[in-house]
Amino acid sequence: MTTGDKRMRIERWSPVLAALGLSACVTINIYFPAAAAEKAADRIIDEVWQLKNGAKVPADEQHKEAK
Amino acid sequence: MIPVIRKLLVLLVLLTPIVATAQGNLEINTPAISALKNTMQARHSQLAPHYASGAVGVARDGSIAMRDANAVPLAQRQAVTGLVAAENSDRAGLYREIARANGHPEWEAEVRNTFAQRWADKAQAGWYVQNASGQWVQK
Amino acid sequence: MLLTLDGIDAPGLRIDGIRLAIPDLAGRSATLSVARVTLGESSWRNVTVQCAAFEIARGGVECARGDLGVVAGGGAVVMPIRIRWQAASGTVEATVEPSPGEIWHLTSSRTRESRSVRLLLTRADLATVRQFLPALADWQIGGRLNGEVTAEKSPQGTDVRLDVSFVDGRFADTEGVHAGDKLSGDLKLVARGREKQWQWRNELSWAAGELYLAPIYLASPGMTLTSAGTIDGDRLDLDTLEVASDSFGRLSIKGVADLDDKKIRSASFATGEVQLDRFAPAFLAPLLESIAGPKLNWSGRFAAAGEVRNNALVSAEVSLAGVSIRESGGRYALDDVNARIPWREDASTDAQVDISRASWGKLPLGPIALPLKLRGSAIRLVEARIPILDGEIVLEDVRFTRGAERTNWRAAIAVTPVSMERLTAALGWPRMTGVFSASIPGIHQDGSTIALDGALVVQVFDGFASVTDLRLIEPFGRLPRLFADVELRNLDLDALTRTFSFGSITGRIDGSLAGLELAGVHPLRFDARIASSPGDYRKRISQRAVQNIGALGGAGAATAIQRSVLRVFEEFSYGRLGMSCRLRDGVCEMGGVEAAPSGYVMVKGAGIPSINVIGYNRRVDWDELLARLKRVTEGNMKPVVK
Repeated sequence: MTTGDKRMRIERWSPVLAALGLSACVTINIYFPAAAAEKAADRIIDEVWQLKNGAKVPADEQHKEAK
Repeated sequence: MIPVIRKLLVLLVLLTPIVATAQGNLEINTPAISALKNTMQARHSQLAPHYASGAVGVARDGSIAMRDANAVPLAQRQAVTGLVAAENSDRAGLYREIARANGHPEWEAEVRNTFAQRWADKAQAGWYVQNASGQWVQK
Repeated sequence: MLLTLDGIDAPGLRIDGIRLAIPDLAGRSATLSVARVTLGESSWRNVTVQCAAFEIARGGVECARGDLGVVAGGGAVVMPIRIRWQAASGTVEATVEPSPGEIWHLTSSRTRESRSVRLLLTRADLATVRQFLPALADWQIGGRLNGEVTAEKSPQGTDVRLDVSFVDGRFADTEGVHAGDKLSGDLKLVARGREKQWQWRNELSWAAGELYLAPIYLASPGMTLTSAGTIDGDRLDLDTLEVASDSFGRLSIKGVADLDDKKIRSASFATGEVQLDRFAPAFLAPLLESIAGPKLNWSGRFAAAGEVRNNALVSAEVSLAGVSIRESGGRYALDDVNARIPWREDASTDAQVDISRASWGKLPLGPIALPLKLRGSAIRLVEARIPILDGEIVLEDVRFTRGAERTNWRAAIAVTPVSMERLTAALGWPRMTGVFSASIPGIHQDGSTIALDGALVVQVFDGFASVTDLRLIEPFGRLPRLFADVELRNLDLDALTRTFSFGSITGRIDGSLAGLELAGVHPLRFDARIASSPGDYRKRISQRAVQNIGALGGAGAATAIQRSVLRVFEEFSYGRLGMSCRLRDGVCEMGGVEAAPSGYVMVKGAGIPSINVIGYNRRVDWDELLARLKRVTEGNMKPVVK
């Protein structure tokens, strides 16, 4: 009776476990860290476009020189 | 019931560090990423006047595109086309390298999408940016 | 007085609803208005001529001074006009002068059988035309035309002749992808039409100016284009189209196309012999540049021909003669390439490519004969033997597939023994002895990664080095990455140390370089270890080598012997020697053959006279270590032994 009871309990919980297991897999394998990626993108773009030291001025100057 | 809960807790504890690393910073300090970043930075001084004139625009797919070549003298158009191609090749490399540096080559498309959004957001006033429906809009 | 006329119908021109109003017969003014003028596909409503000098003379009407008004595009355009009509011959002459010196002179005349229209152009501005043609609204065009156009309609059909020269021609589409500037040349066209069928012959010569058809830019190429053919309804029969140019020679095309479906039913093309030194800078370089490809210098000649069916290439043949291709950075070159490459869409073909000489960096290769099997987008090379110095590179079963997304190829490569002496001399490296050989059962590129199955084996310094798990990431990218594991076995230290002027050590070493990762030529990480090989052999180390090993250990390294002792002996015997370096983040974590109190033993003495070299710096900056090694091997340094 006791063993049967235990099995019953586990069976009742198994969908939850399965669901958790599934979501765990999803978290590990597919989860894309969007916020971190955005932060990384910002850092790279700031460097490439030289946005941190008022790059607008040099860009405009170059424009004038080119013309 | 208790053993089940304990199992769940163990599972959660096991999962936490994985989730935590994923929430942290992306690795962008590899030599390959730095090399790409440096060449793109060097090229930017050549591209900047063309962004400003509207000849080249910030495309919605994380690349740049020749938008209005009429803004460039005929004899220089070929050179600008070459610049755009070189920049796009480096950008594709950058997205691939970031995905690879973080151990998930399959993230390349998502990295590209994230960058596409941020390039557009950070484009300077006067530059042209392609909106979601493919039209060019001046910032 | 009011005169009305139903209309005039001339070839390509129709004028409807003509009204002539003369307010006062004694006066000299009149107003001519036209409900609609149709020229070809375009039409304009409400065209008026206000005439200030109007005269009804014998057998005709003349307006010697008038203003032509047309509502076109956004606003009304007014231009000076002269008109004369002769009733007897039915001849109408009109002269429009939109700007001083610019004359459009139109004559319409009639015989019993035919009606003809003749347009004489003097410095006619294309921009004038553009404002009347909404179809060209998206294009910027301009330029001056001189010459004449005639059209004659008779029961036999319609004849059109065009003979104009253009100067200062310019055009551009909205995106500037197709554009021309300062164009000058001549256009001659003769066409005859009957019902829906038109036959034509034309000749276009382009003498000067610049043209940009993305990504190709041409400046004053001295180009001529001649064509002849028939258009019948929506069917185009191109009998011949020939383009000849100083820069690329000659191109001939003929074929049949459906104009409505924009479909080429069948066509064939052939070039003459094209000089690559002139053709490549204008055509190949921009195409390569537009895909961020390599910068190459070309010379030699090529010819190409092919057939197109239903808009797809079905066969082609390319031949190369005396072609030379050199990467402008000098990284690689192919010289005197001769090839015949036939290709068919529906069958496999055999191609032959012969390269007299090639070089990769400083390394000469060749001659190379490549028998290729082509099928669709796949290329297969059964076997090729490429001489390299005194050995050969043997390529076997190379398969190349070019997909839309990625390029894949695989091959088996073997290198038959090449003398290291000749190899190192060719590469400008320190002279080494031994042989280089490799057997790579599988090398394959999939997308951006090249990987090797099998081992690369180098027999060098009387031992051997083997490289396994070799992978190249982004081999053609901004910064290629290399991953490999290297094993060294039984290298002769005597030969090794003499090659690199490291003093002299007799003995043998084994080593490994595990998890090697290179970015460009810079190592990012590895676990390296060298140690005396097991076995019984003579183990001696010279005074200079001892000093050098000590110097590698840096300021903290020390020899566990007295300076005086060191001076007395030229040579010492040792039991074991070895070093290890675990490179991470630019720092080398050093170790030796065994631990010593607060250090590590690099040379463990044995016998008489014996010597121990102990290092105390456990963490050494990699660049610093390289600099020390360089100083030591260049022999510029007299290490100070503490």
